Amino acid sequence: MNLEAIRTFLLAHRADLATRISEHLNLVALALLAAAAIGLPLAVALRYRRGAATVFLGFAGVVQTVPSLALLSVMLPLFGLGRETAVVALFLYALLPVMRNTLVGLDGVDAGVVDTARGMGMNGFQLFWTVELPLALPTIFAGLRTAAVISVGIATLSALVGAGGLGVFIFRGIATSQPAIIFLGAVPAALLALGLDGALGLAQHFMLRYPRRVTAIGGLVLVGCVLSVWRPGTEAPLLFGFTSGFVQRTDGYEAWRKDYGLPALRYNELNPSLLYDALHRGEIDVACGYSTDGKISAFGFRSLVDDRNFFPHYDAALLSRSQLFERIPGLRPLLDKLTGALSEQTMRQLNLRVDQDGVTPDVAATEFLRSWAPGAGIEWEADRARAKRFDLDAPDLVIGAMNTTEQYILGNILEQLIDGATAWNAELKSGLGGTAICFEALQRGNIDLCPEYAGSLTMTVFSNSLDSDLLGHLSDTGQLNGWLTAELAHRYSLVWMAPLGYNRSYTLLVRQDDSRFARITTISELKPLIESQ
Amino acid sequence: MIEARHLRKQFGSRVAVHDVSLQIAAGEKLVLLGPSGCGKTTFLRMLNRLVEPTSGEVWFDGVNIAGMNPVELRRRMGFVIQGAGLLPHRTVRENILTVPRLLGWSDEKCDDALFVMKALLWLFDDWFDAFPHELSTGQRQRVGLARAIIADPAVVLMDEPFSALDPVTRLQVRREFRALWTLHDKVVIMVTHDISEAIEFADRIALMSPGRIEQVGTPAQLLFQPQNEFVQKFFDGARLHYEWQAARLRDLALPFDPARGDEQPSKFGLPASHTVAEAMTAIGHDRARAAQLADAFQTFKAGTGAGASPGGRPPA
Repeated sequence: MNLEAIRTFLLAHRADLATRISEHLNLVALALLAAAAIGLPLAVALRYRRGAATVFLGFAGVVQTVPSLALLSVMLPLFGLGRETAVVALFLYALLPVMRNTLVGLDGVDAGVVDTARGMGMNGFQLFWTVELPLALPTIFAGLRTAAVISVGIATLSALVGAGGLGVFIFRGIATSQPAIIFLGAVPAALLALGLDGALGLAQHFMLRYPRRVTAIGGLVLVGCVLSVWRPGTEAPLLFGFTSGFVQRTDGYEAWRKDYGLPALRYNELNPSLLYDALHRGEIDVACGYSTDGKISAFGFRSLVDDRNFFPHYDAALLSRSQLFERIPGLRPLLDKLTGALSEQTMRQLNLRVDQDGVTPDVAATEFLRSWAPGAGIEWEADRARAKRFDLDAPDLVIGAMNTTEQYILGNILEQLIDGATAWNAELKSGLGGTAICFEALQRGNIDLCPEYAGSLTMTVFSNSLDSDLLGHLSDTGQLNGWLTAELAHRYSLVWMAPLGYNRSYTLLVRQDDSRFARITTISELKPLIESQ
Repeated sequence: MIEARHLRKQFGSRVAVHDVSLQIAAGEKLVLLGPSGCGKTTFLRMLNRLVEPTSGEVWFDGVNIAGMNPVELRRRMGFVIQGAGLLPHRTVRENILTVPRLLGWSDEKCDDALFVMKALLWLFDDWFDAFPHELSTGQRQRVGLARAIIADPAVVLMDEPFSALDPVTRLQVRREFRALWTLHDKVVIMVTHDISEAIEFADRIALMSPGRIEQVGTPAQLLFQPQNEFVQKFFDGARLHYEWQAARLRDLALPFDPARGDEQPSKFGLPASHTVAEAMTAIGHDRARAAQLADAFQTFKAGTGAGASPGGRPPA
C-alpha cells in the first residue's frame, strides 16, 4: 500500500476515525480521572494502615489478573451496555498502578528528609503537601502513566460492550478479515498510548516548577476529554444493535440500509454473544442476529420479515483440505451423510439446549448423534467417542470451529462422529476467532476440516474480487455453492461440501412485548417508525 | 534552660534510654557522646518530641514540653542531622528559608536573615538557586546549619551533623560553626560518637553507655577525674591525645610567663585558650619547649588527681 493509498483510505474514514478517537480518549480520561480521584486519596489514607492497604492492593491485583473481556462481561449486567461498563472496568484496571505507586512513592521518600522536616516544625499537612507529595511525585506519575497506557490498550475491548472507541475498527476488521481496518484502530490506539504517556511525562517534568499551571492545564485537558463525547442524551429514535461484522461487511449495514431506503441509524456495535442479552434487557431496541441462534427463541424474540429479500444465504457446509480425503479415504462418505441432516429447526433446538438449558456443547452433540446416527445408517457408539476424547496420541485429523455456540456444537458433532464411528482419532480446536482465521488455519494445515458458511466465506476469501455478478450469486443458493466449490478447489485446493441443511442468515429481531413494534412485521415497515421519530 | 527529669524510653521490651536526668544551662554547648546504640540520638529526639518519652519530663524555659504543641516547640529549636537532610526538590534558598516561611516571615525579613547567614557560614550567592544535589557534601552541611539557625532559635539540636563530611572539611566546618558568634548565647546539644569532636566542641560532655549517662562534665573532668571504670576506659584508645586536647594552656602552671588572658599570646606565642594539642603542633621541632610543655602538662595532670581509682573523686 503506497502513501497515496493510505491517504485516500484515511480521508475516507476521516469522520469515523475522529469520532472513535474522541470516544477512546473519553473512556481513558474518565477512567484515569476516577482512578486518580479515588486511588490517590485512598492510597494516602491507607498509608499507615498496612492491613487495609494489603486488602485493597490485593483486590486491585486480582482485578488485574481477570482477563479484560471477562471483566467487561461481569460488569455488563451491573452497568449495562455502553460507556459506564467500559469506564468502570478501565477504572478498576487503573487502580492498581495508581495506588501501588502512590504507596511506594510515599514510602520511598528519604527518611532523613522527612525527619528534618518534622524536626524543623512542619505539621502533618505541611510535611505531606510540601515534602512527601512532591518527592513521591515521580513515582506517582509513573503509576499514572502505566495506568494510561494500560487503559488505552484495554479500551479497545470496550467496543465489545457498545462503548465505541478505536476497538470498533479492530473488531470490524477481524470480523471481515480486512487488515487495513484493523490497523485503522490499532495504529491510532498505539499512537494514543505513546502520546498520553509522553504528555504525562511532560506534565511530571513541569509539575514541580509550575505546579499550579500544570494542574490547571491538565485539568482542562481532562475535562475537555470527558466533555468531548458527553453530549446531552437526545431522546433518540430506535437504538439498533449490530455485530461488528455486519457493520463492516459489503453486504452488511450500509448496503442493507440503502436497499430499504432507511436513514442513518443510531446503533451500538456488539459482540454476537452479548447482542441477545442486550436486546432482552432493553438496552437496544432492534438487534440484527443470526437466524439459527438459540437465544432467539429462548428470549422469545420476534423476527421481522426480510420482505425485500436482501439478506443473502449463509448456507452452512463443511470446508476441508482436499489432502484430507486422499489421506483418509473413507472419511468423505461418512461426512457426506451429514448433508441435509441439520435443518434450521434442528440447529435452533441444539443452540437452545446450550443457551437456554445450559447443557455443554459436547452433550448437545452427543444427543444429536444418538438420535440421528441410527437413521442415517451409521454405526456410532457414544462410548467409543468418549474414550477417544482424551486420547493423547497424535490425532489423525484436526477439526476447527469458531467461537459461537453453534460452532462449538458443530465442532463437537464432527469430532464425536468421527471418533465414534471410525478407527480414526479426531481432535477439536474450538473457539477460533472467525472465518478468516479458520481459512488461514486450513491453508496452513493447522486444521483439516471446519464448518463454514457460504456467505461468510465468499465475503472473506473473495472480497477483493467481488463484482456485482458474484453479489448476484449470493441470493441464489445453488449458484453460490456451485461457484464456491469450483473456485475453492481451483484456487486453494479446498473442498466445499454439500450444505448441511440450514441457512444461518441475518435476521432483524425485536422483543415480543415491545409495543412500538406491535403492528410491524416486516423490515420495510420500520421505515415510517424511524422517520416519525 | 533545658532540664530532663528521669527520662526513660522503651521501644517494645528494649530500653533505649534508662532514667536520664540532665540540666543544660543557657548558652551551654553540650555533647552527648557514646558508642552507637547507646540511646544518645533517642535522648536528643525526646527534647523536641520527635520521640515521646515512656516516662519522665523535659522542661524547656520553665515549661514542661509535654504540654506544648510539638510543632511550635520544634520551630523554636534548630535541628541538623547527618547529611543535612535538605529537601531535594527545593532550591538552597528555599531550604534555608524553611523555618522562616513556616513562621510566616516577610520577604524582607527573609532576605535580611539570608544575608546574615551568607556572611556567617561562607555561603555563596550562586548556591542559592541551585538544588542540594548540585552542592558538595561540605556545602550542603553548611546550608543545613544555616537552615537550623536562621530563625534564631534558642536551642540547636544536632545529630552527628559533621559525620558525613570528609576529615578535612569536617574539621573546618566544625571549627567555623563552633566559632560563630550567633551561637554564643544559644544552647547547642550535639550527638556524636567521635571523641575528638566531642572534646573540641563541648563545654560539657554527657558520656553515655547503653541507656544511661555515666558522667557529665567538662572534657577535662571526664579525662582527669573519671567517675567510674566505663568513663576511664572509654578514652583509653588514644588517651594522651585526648588529654592534650582537653587541657588548655591557661590551666597549666607554666615555668615561663603564664598566660594572662584568653586571647593574649603566652611565651609560646600562643593564646592561652589553645589546647596542649594545638600548642604541641605549633611548637613543632622546638624540643626544649616541647619538653617544658610536656612537664607542665604532667604536673597539671597529677594535680587534677587523674589516675585515682575510678569513682574516687567528685569533679572539681
